[in-house]
Amino acid sequence: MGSVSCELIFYGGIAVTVAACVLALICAVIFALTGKKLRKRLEEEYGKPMI
Amino acid sequence: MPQIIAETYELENQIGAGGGGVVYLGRHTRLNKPVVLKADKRKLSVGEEKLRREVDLLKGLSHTYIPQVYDFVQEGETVYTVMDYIDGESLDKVIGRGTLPSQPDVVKWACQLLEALHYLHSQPPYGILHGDIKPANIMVRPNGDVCLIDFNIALALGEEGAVRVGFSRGYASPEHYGADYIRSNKAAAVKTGTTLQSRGFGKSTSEADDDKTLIDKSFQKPSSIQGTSGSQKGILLDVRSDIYSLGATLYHLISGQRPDPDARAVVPLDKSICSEAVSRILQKAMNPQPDERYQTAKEMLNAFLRLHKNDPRAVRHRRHMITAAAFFAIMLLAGASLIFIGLKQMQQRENALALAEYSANAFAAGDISGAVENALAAIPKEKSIFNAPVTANAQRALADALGVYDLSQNFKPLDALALPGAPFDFALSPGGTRLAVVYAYETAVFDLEKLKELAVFPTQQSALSDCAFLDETRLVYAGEDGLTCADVKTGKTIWKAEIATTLAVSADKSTIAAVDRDSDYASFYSAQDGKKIAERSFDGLHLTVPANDIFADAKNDIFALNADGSMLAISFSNGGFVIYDCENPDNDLIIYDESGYDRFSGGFCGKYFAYAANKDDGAQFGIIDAKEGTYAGGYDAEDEMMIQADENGVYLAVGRLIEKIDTAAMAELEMAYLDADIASFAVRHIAGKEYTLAASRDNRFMFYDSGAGMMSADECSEICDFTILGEGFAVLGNRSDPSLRVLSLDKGDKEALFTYDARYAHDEARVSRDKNTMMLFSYQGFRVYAKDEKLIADVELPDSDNIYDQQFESDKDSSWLEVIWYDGTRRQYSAADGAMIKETKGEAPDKSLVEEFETDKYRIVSELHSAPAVYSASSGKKVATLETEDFLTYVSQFGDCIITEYISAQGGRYGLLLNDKLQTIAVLDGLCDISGDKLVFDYGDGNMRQSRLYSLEELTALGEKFIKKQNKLKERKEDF
Repeated sequence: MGSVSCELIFYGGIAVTVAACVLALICAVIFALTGKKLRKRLEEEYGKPMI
Repeated sequence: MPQIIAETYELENQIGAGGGGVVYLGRHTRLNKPVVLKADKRKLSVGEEKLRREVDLLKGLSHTYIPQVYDFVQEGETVYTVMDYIDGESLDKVIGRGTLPSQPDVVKWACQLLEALHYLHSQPPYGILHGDIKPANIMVRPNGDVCLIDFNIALALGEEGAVRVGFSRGYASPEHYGADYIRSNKAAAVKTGTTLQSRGFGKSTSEADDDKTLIDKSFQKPSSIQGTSGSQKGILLDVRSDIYSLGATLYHLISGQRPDPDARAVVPLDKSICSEAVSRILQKAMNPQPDERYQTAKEMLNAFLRLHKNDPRAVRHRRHMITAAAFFAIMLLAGASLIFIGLKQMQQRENALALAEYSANAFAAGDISGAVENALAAIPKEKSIFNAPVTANAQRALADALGVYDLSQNFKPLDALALPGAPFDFALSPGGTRLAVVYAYETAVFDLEKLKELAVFPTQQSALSDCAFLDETRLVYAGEDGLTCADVKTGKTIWKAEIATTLAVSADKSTIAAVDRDSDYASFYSAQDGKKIAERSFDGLHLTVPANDIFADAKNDIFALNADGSMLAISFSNGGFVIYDCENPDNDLIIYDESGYDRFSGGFCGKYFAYAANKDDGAQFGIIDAKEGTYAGGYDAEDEMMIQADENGVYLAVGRLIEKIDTAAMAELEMAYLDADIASFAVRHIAGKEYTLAASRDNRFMFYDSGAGMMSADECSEICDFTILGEGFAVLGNRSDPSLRVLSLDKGDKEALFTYDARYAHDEARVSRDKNTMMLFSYQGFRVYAKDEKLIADVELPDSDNIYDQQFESDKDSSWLEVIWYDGTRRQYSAADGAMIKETKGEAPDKSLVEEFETDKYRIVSELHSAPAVYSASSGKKVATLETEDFLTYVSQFGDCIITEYISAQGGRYGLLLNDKLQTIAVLDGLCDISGDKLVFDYGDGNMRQSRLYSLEELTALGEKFIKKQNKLKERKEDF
């Protein structure tokens, strides 16, 4: 009856890990882009950060 | 003519004038460097010492955003302060042009000014207060940096502050004005000696224009405020006043509007003018209450420096990143944990599956201890996250090894006996409970009941070495020093005789005949004391002795005594076969003087001697009336023949057939028929029944009952050369494996539920709901039995060829057999007395033979020519297929398990116990019914037996108990 529980756990773990890595990468790119945009906006408002 | 000051500074032109004095652009004549000279309005009458102190204060300052004060010179009554010339323009001019600086520039200047203020405020001993920060006093250099100028009214702070000397309207803090809304209860540095009204705005100041600094003419010596006198006319200021002024300056720069002099009326800047964060900083800096402002320039500087960091968008962005990072970290950790746990569980499961397979193999090889040990090892002892759930294979292996569901009257694996070497020969005690095994070069005696080794005796170095029991304690064997009789309990020698390899014991156990492999005569001994009774020469003939008799199989000769030891049958290496009359040589019977037969077997049965002589192209079986000296009968065959003849009868194996020969009538009775040629066989009477054990050449062995019905069959790794049936025991072995497989006869009496006539042919057996009666039925008819074996009803069903189906059914109170005919007739027969309850005529049944069964979780559909499909009861989706070639007849929910019942192609019935994942956890051979919480088995042997369901915990406990028992036995063996 399908996969046994230990295989489900193992492959589920792989799926979760891969999903976490992929999503983390996507989020990192998104945060990098939004961060860059935000920094630009803040520099327009406050000038270059002095610290 | 330019004015020269102090012979050093040349005044060029006036560049400014204010409340504190006049500012000139000058030049250092020697250095030719532009300088600023500020002529103090106050004359020397103020006191040179005081002026000098103030300038000294400023001279010590050195900061990027503060002009450097060089000198303090006096020219006439005027005192000049010489300082750096700051190129650029003041911010008031920038504002005046109507071009407001951008917010980033304002923020940058704010930071620079705050650094300067922090520097000033940090000067020892108590800091320096600028006191007049406003756009006009801030120069913007060409490089875009600012410089804070005009320290005209700058004052050294005392412990409690400094005394106000002047202020600029709009930029000055409320405390400059001595405003009355300043909370008097605050332990503030600002102290007012007059009300806002009395101090007024400019009433006591020389007011020029709005951006001018108003000098407080009432300014008195700071010393009077610092507690050296009782006068309190001055207003005490502190760094927070500078902070207010800077806030007001920045407010003006950003908004283009000079702040209202009344701090309470200052309108906060809205989003359209500047950022909220900047507005908040300015609002705080300009708070009317000093305690609510930034308390230091550093604090305000930090507020500006952290604009980026503290911006709500940046904070939100950072928070989102941290949240995401935490989330992914948790995800990764969870994933890694799952992988680790999954790997551990998979490893454990793989091990468990391998162990379960080892267990099954060990069970198949008769090694019950090994089977139980492996099955137990396959089941984790403790529940752990790293242990996979117990595999169905492990549970099944344990149930098989323990045989908890095998209630048949049958030979069941008991255990394996390990030998030091491969066996040459066996001997069974008359009682069938002790076994002697000859191997290189010892003879070991085992107690089969206890599986215990009793004694080991050194034996001749020949595979021809023989042994035989006289009774349960005395063993005669081919000892290394001669024929020996020993007590198997004590291991002591009872008597010894001449050297011999082959021996025979008369059925009455009185006489022993022995012959050595190299001798051409046999010696006869008294079994009682080993005295030699007689000797008989073979006239130069010898037994068949292989060239190498150390390991060769040399058991192909006849050497047998009759019941009273008066006759000796012997075959020779030349194919000769003679029955010697020990008392009268004239009566010797020469069956073959010489022949091509090279493999003989045979024995006495009363006055008859039965033999089988084999050669490569044929065999002969014969029965000799040894007393009369006549040939009673026999026949030739192409197949190999084997004979077992003893006082119980003559049994002949020929090809695949085992038959019993009636010596008187020369009739044959089939005992067993195998699927392959017979390799060895044994027949024995046990408890009044005759059992046959036969090993075939396709590595299998089978047990048959007295009716030639096969009781059980199993596989062995090699052809079994030896098959021995003892009293309730069976032993199998072969000449290349140093272990013996021991099986014991389980009569299954304890679990008996009903007893019936075993001769009654039936397809199914069922127990009634009240458990008082049982029903045996087939399409031909049915019988009802009571518990006391009483036959209640014996009914033949009419028109049995047209019966479509039979169903045994029950309700709360009763049970009945429903018989359905193809024409739609349905009859119900009571399981209590066999009477017909009712008869109905309905539609003809559907011949598709599709049956559906329902359990708690599944719906199972069984079709005639396909594997039953399992559907989820809740979703209706197909979830599995029950892989079996046999026909599914019933499906029952049994606790948490499911029991499926099948009929095999051979007509055998069995059940499978499935767990909730439809995995087989036990095979239920012979299952015929489920009665309450009991499994009911019918093996067609006249008994219905019942068993309860064993949980995994119970099986484990039974297994551990079994292993403990085996370990004790092993310890005892080692002790022995």
